Amino acid sequence: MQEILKIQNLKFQYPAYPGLDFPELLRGINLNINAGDFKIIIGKPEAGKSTLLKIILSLIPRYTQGIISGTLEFKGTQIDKYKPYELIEKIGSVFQDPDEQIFTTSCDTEIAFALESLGVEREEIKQRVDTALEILEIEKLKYRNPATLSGGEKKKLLMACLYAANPDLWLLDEILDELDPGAVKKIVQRLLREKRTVILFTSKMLDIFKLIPGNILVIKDGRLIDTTNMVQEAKEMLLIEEGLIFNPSESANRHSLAEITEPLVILKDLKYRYPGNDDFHLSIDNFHINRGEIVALAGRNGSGKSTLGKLIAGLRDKESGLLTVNEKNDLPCGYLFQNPDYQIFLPTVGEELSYGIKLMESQIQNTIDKFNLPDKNVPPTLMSYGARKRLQAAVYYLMERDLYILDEADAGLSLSDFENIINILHRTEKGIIIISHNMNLCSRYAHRVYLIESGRIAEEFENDLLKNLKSFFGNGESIL
Amino acid sequence: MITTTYVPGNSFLHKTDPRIKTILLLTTVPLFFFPLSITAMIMILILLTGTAIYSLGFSRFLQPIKMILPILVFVTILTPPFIRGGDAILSIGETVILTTEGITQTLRLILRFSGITLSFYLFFATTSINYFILTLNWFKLPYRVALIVTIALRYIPYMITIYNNIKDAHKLRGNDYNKKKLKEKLNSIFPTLVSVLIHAIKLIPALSMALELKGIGLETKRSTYSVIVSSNLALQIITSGGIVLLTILIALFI
Amino acid sequence: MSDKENKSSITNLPAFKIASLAILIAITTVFTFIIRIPIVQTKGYFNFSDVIIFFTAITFGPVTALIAGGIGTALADLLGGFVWWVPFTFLAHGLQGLAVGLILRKKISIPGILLAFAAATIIMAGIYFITAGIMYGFVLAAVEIPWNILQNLAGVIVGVPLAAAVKKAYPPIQNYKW
Repeated sequence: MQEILKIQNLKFQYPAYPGLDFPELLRGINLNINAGDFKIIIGKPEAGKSTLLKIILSLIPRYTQGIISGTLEFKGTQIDKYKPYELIEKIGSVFQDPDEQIFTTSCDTEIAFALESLGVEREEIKQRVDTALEILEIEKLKYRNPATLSGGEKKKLLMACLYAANPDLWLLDEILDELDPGAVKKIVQRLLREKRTVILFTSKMLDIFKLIPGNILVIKDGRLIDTTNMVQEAKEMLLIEEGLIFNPSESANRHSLAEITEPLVILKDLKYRYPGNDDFHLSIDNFHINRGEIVALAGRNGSGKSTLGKLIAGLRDKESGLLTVNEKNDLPCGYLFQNPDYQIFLPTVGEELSYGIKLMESQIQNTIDKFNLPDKNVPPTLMSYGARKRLQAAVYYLMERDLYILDEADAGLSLSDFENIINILHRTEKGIIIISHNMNLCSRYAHRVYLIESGRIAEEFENDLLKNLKSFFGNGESIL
Repeated sequence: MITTTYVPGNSFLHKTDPRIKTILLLTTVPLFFFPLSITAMIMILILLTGTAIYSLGFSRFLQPIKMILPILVFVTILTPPFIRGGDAILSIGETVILTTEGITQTLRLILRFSGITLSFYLFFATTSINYFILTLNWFKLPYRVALIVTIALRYIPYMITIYNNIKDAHKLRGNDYNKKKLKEKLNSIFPTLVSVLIHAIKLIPALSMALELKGIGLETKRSTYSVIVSSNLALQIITSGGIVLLTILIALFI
Repeated sequence: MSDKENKSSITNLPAFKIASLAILIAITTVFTFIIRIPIVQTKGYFNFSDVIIFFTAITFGPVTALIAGGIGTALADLLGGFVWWVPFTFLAHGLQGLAVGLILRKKISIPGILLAFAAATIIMAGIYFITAGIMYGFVLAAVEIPWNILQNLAGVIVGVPLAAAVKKAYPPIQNYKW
């Protein structure tokens, strides 16, 4: 068996910043990849997956200073002998965020780009572009502007780029996000059938991984744990411990409802038209949230659940119908965007927390402790993604809003972090809306779930019914 | 979404090779700066108008005209009183308001501006931006400049989305843009601008990585996948040569 | 490996230069085209182009400001339908950015800012005055001068603090100047 990648005792630590120390992220990674291996590296957000991927691609320490040690060989050559641009036919990658990787204005030129760099002849490029589009079944997108593609389509386009370049080793970071289960299955099965050498990085345990026997590695405390020879129970324990799957035996950590039900949000016959899109509109007949209640909006990407959230938050103007949110408050809602950086702009955590409100020093420190934030003088933009998410929640927590809307709030957060945020924000007089396509997450924390489909409420469930739903959506992390 | 000037279509001007259109544009525009006779200018403008209506339709033709209408109105009102030459046509008391020379000058400015506008519009309405970049490439624009513009075009709609999201996010933190006073307006838009810029700047190293992974930095000669495809190039060259000749004749002798 | 790459700074990488120019062009276009306060005037709107040009010149230096300022605003004209302006806008704003970048290259001081403002205004308003004058008469072109001075004033008043605020909130940007 030909050895493709060999990593020995790899350690890495991000550089510290005054008031902000990063612990050693990778603490001795050992990994051997042979030709035809399909490895899944699973770990909670910020466990070091993307960092490891960038080290393999020779991008770290090129772009990020830091303390690095250990050896990393690609087919027997030290990886730092290569520049990233010399890796096209050696190591191919799909990043977590396609918007950081797709940079041309047409799908075919995107696929062709790497081949042009290599000086491949035009006729051959044309052929390889068409073949790649065909494999991913996206021939129709050939001349489309990638900016107009859906998240799933963008991932398929990036996969097509790899098929055209045909590297020896494929590194796929969270590639299965935003793809529907059918497409996921097809892609994974094809890669297996072709005996591609693949490392798939993920923070979600998907059912499909059960079809790839014995190749799951868990990244934990900066080391890789091979689960191949573990018994099923031990494997599950490890995944639960790391917050990668829910503990099926533990009952949902749901808060009890207050006896008195005072409505906070009421919606009736609400209509909303998307600007410039006549084919799709939002139409909600009946929807409400009481104070103290946690409600989930579940549904696929593009079902309209985020739009509904933005309507309630007052960020979109309804066309007709009734929508009332606590009228005594000018700004009754806090909307936690999936991307925490939208709201961050000030130089320190302390300033960010006290922007627009008068706070005592002790209140700031209290909140910093509660949300487990670093020092108040640290620039938020340099904190970890999870810490920025917690900061975003802390900002609204201090603003005392009546309703908190969490849009895909679990994205990029560990389950324990997410749970903490919910626990702090949830108080008797407040309401919470969780927007997610993760059915398990919804059922775990919400008192009620609205299932949104094509801009309408398809069904409404009380929490008890949710248990039955599980059998409907399957176990594990179901992607709707 | 943003609308570019380009109007997808199938007219003869759409099918004309963008390199030829560039040469046509480069002959037409400077013509309007030469001291042509008013008649010649009108004739060239009629030629352009005819082309515009024929290839884009009447309503599309009106679009740029509507945009420059305010300027044309201002030119008509403001120019004549400042031009003294020629015979006085209209005067209030001692002050001459309108002279023959004033009328000619004003007409010249109107014709010139309309002509230039229409020429540029015809070019960009029938040439997609990707083709425009390929054309510049063909005229020896460095590859990297073309790549930079392509990437910029890719990220314009993305940055607009980011801007709108950030605007929403800041609105909920209490930064309302609908303030009356300019100072308050600027104060509330400032945080949004900071967030947008941080977001954009964080994208730079990420994009740089993506570019390197796709081979930017290699010293191998790049091959090209996208090329300008056009049919009947010889016929196009002859026809446009004829048009250029006709225009120059009009300019010289009328 | 070329000699250039031996320097540790990533700003020497061709990929980094391409990426920063492209992103700043996109941002300039968005600031010019999207973020604007409408006014009835020949150019149609009061925009943030000069704000972003001052920002770019201070944080990224003269070359980036020349290219991003010129191409970014020209693209905005192209997208907005002001096609006849494209070449002139490219010149006016590109040279404006270059001037500000050169003047404020070393350090930001009050006299430096004033000088940059004066140079930016003379270049930008001057080029527009001459080109507009030739196109549709110097009378109307003169009417636009005050507006262009105001645009530059906004560039200084908003752009300079913006550069400072971004630098404070995101310190790594200090390494991006070239």
